[in-house]
Amino acid sequence: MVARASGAVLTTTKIQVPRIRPGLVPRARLVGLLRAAADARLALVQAPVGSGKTSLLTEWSQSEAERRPFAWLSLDPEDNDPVRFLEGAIAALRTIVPDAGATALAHLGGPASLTDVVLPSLVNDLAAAPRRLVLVLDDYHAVVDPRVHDAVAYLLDHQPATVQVAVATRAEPPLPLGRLRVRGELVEVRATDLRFTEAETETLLNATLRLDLEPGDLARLQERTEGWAAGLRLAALSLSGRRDRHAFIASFAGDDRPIVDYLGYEVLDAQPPDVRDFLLETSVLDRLCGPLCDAVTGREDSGARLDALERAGLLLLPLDTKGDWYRYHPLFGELLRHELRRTRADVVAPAQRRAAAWYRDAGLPGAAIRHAIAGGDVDLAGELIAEHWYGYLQRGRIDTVAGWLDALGDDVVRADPGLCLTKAWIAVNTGRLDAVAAWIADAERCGPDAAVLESGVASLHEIHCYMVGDVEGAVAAGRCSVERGDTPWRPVGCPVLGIALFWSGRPAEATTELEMAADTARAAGNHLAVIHASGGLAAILAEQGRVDEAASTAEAALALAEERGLGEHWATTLARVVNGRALEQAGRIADAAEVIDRGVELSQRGVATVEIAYARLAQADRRRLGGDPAAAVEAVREARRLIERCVAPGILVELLARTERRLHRAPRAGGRDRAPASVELTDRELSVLRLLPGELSQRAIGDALYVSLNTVKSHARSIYRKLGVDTRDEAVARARSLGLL
Amino acid sequence: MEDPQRASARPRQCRIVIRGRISDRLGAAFPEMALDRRPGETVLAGSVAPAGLDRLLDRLGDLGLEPLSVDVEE
Repeated sequence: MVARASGAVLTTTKIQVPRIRPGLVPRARLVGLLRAAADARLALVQAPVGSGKTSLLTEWSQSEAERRPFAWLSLDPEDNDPVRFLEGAIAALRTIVPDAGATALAHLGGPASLTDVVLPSLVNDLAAAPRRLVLVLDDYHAVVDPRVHDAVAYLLDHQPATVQVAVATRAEPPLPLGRLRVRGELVEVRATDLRFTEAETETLLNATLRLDLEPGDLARLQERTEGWAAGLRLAALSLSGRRDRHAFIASFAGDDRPIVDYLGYEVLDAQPPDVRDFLLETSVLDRLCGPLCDAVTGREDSGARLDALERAGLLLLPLDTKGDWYRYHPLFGELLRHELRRTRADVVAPAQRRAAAWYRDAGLPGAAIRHAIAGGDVDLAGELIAEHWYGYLQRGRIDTVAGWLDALGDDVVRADPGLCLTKAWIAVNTGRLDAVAAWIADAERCGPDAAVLESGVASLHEIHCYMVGDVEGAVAAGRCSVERGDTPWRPVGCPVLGIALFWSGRPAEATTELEMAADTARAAGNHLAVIHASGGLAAILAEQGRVDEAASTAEAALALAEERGLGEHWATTLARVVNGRALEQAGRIADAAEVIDRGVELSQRGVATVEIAYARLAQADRRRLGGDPAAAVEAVREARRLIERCVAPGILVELLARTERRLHRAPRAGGRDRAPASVELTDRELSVLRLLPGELSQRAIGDALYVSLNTVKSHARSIYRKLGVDTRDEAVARARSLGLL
Repeated sequence: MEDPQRASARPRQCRIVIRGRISDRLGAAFPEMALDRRPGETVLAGSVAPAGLDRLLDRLGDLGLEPLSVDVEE
């Protein structure tokens, strides 16, 4: 995981305050309402498409220019990834508070929860900022992910008094509006407020656009459109080239089609054929610039056309101040897309593909992948995802990558070994270990003949084995991956082979492998891998009794983790344990306790069973030294439970025995250090044992086996005694480790 | 017993009323729905899954066709 360069991945058009368009009618009463409520935590502008929400916010921001600046973020469907949303919000805030969110960005996409670290640090940065500001979230209806709503609700609850949030949306947002309303912390502008009055209608059509309409016609238009801004704008476009304005208005007022149905087609059909074609073909784009439109339409004059369309007021909205990027007014864009699908459905997919190719060549893989998926270009989408998924994952954008694969569909993914492996990797990272093996099997079924794929399969197999506590399997798969040479997959598993070698009892090989892995990772800027490898090296040194070297290696790993905002990651577990043991030996028991407990806590965020067990053993030793034998026994029991769950735990078995001996307390199994190699159970006991992993109560087990509750209890007691355990869960674990289940 | 999640994902009969008599040209944007044009309004009726209903309402909203009412069969 690398620290993000904020903004590098974010198109600046998203954080651009829109410029005031010529012909905008001043909405003094609404701006006054918003200005007067500067103390409200939330300004909510909620109204249907084309009601003038963005225009109102733009005018409001200009009117407050001398009082407080506005940070602007225009949202789109990709913001349903909380990491992307917060990157955008921080980039917007940085236009005003230049260093805001440094800590938040460092932790974003890492293991820390948003409300633990990311959002509180962002709130602190804003509280420390000297200026009052407004954060605008435009097009908020594009967001449906509850985690993004939670983040915004958190900001609303905790934002300093200097910050106001403004939300523009078509739909009621799932934010704590009721609470804000009763506290008087909410100012609202709704569709009815945004309707143009007769006076505003006159200002728009006569004063600004100089259409010279009679009062009766103005009133008819205002009534027919109900003051809907987009309706009036479309009417103005329809009227501008006409002489028979009175007749047109009478005909429109007497028609009962929806406004867009009538006026939208009026405007579209009035365009010369080449303009119409240009509008339709470029409607597949959610953002437009000259070169992109050239690529999609095969023309060479798109830049000039876009300028001309904007000058003609053809519902093209500028996205930047330089006039490079535009988007269609959402209402008009949707009408164009519908007309294109209706009349020339066959050109939609090819246009999407040309857009995908242009974005690919422009080095914008996210947009390229979206257009490739929309255009059904599975090959290009697959190729681009294969090339870029790891970079996205390293920036914490796991939801974005998962979203691409979901959009492609499992059937398409199953046919592409690289995409199967990406699925497997996502499953590893989201802790869904049950799904990993199936995706790896799918990848292999596609017939991986290239070394890259074999390396990928082996790398994932290595990680999967490691996670489930099969250190021998991890070593075998890791070696297999290394043999395939330097593939893009190798860094994925690089520290794991070395650490697995250590657990499997080969410290010398492990050291060589880990030193190499750390160098490779350092050169690649893969800090997480450096930290994990250094933790492994520190653990080896500690087990070899090289106390000082172990301590300094662990300290260096933890310092790097703090510096890179990775201090919350489970990959710091080994470094923390070694650091804690060093503190313990220096007699700093309380400090050691804190560090080791933290190591245990973080280890549980990962799913590497052996590392959790290793941390538990350190915790048991520390508690014994701290004079709390009962707590020490509890920790060592937990370690035993974990180690028994492992497929092949390697030296963890010896380390467990060592800690148990130190505790001067043999485990329950009649003084035996290890569970017996074989246990003889009767047939009846075996049939009860087979039902223990399930959900059945003892009474239900009795019913299933046609015996009484007391008989089941007596069999269970006997099973526990023979297995040397105290509980049903332990019995299941022990029976599994002995191959009885 | 029916899986509650699957039950809620089952398509249901929906009836959406929008203002105005929609033309065939614009009505073609909703091929999955039967259109019943009445004085001053259009009724869109059809069988829609819950996720499909959200998308349908979004598309209506994108075109400025705000529903007067939405009824979903229980």
